[in-house]
Amino acid sequence: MPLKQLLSGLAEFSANEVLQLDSEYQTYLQPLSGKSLALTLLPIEQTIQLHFTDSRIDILLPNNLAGDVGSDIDSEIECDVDSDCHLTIQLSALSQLRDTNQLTTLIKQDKLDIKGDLSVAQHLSALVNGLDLDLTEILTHKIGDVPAHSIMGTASAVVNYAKYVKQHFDITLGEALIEEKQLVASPLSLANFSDEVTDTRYWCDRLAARLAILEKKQLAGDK
Amino acid sequence: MAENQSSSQPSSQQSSQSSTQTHFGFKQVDEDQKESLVAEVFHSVAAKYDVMNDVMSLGIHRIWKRYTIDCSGARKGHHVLDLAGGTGDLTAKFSRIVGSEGSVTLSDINPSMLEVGKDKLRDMGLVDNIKYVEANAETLPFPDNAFDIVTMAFGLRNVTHKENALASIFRVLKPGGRLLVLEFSKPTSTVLEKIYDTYSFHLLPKMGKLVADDEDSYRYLAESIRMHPDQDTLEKMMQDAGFEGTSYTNLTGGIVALHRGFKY
Ligand SMILES: C[S@@+](CC[C@H](N)C(=O)[O-])C[C@H]1O[C@@H](n2cnc3c(N)ncnc32)[C@H](O)[C@@H]1O
Repeated sequence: MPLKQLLSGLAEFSANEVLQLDSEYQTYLQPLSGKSLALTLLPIEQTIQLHFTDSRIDILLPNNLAGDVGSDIDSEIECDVDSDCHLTIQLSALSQLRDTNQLTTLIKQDKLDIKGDLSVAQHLSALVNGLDLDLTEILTHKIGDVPAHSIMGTASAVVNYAKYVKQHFDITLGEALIEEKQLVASPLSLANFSDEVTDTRYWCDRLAARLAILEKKQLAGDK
Repeated sequence: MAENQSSSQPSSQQSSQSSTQTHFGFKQVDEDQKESLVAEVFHSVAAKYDVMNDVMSLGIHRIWKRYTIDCSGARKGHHVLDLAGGTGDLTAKFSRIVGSEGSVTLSDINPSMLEVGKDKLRDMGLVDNIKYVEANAETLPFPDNAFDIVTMAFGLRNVTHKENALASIFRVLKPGGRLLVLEFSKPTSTVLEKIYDTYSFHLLPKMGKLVADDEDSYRYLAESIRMHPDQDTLEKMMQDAGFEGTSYTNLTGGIVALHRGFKY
């Protein structure tokens, strides 16, 4: 089964379901209607194409022939992506895309490249940021007050615990790399190292200057 | 006509094939009879076609179709022909992709299927760029070089003279245009083939009876799948019709294959 198409199908289904949860979603979709946006994720080089109409989003993986487990791929069709706006972004920077203030920084850092109509990206950002999704309220409508609150309570406890575990893991890993395996230099040894580099450069410069003087003298003597 | 023979098929049915006879499922019928027999099948399944599609394929047909769209290269302004398009699953997505500058023609030989498709697409709010044309794939009523993309999903195996349909599609495609044929094919592993046979010959007609009260139509569907050319034979047929750069991708272990070809 084409796994990527299964995922894009699920993503499309979820995106449209989420949209419907906000009664105002059409206000945000309207400016995007009839437009398309391609998003190429690096380094995996996967392109995802979003097509907008005033009532839904379609998600495509253009000409994607890879990812079919057990498929016979006899020839690659050229990947022809034609969108109003094409973003190429490093996977690691994806989460920063929501914040439009970060865009210039990302571009300067070569983590983001934008081609085509920038307003499409801006409207998409407005859509993502503008959706007013109160999960507790949505769940309350669907399953009732008490279960909704207990689910949300459990969810936030799980999230907090995951954050705590991650923080703890980061610290432990950091210490292990520096102290035990000595794979990463500590800040103090880094500062020492940089002082030593400055000293060495100073002595090198002095040596070069003395050599130059000596060379001059030698030349004068020869004459 | 070159057809794929599979091991568990009674070979007498193939060898007795005369020039004026063709297969309708496993039965031999007169060539001019097949069209109306196929019409009967789809007329009788039309109303429940979408539900049965989901039940029969466990929803996987949606993923096969999604893959087809992904490989189509469709873009704004394109003119797409969804041939044997039935209830218009592909048409719906193409319509949103090609936008108001493009068009999608949903074409089928069967007015009942077209009618169900028309209602469904209208309910989805898709009206502006879709045309509905009742036509036989063998004799398409469109001018030469009219379409950027032609798709035929699960339709080709029902056509009496497949080579005529391929020639007709070639004619209406623009130079540079592509044909995508999504069709049941030959599973690549014998184990899968056995499981699949059991499913399609035993379970499928029963499901047809249960959900649509129409065992015979679903038996025909299973049999016609079996009689359809295998991957390489179909690719060769496409090449014979003039298509270049042909290739195919097996999906779900070859139960289905997507064939592609270009007109240059
Ligand atoms: C299994 S349905 C597929 C419908 C749709 N493409 C889908 O994938 O859901 C096959 C369709 O092929 C149509 N068909 C059969 N013979 C045809 C022919 N000679 N020309 C055009 N359409 C034909 C039938 O009427 C039917 O709607």
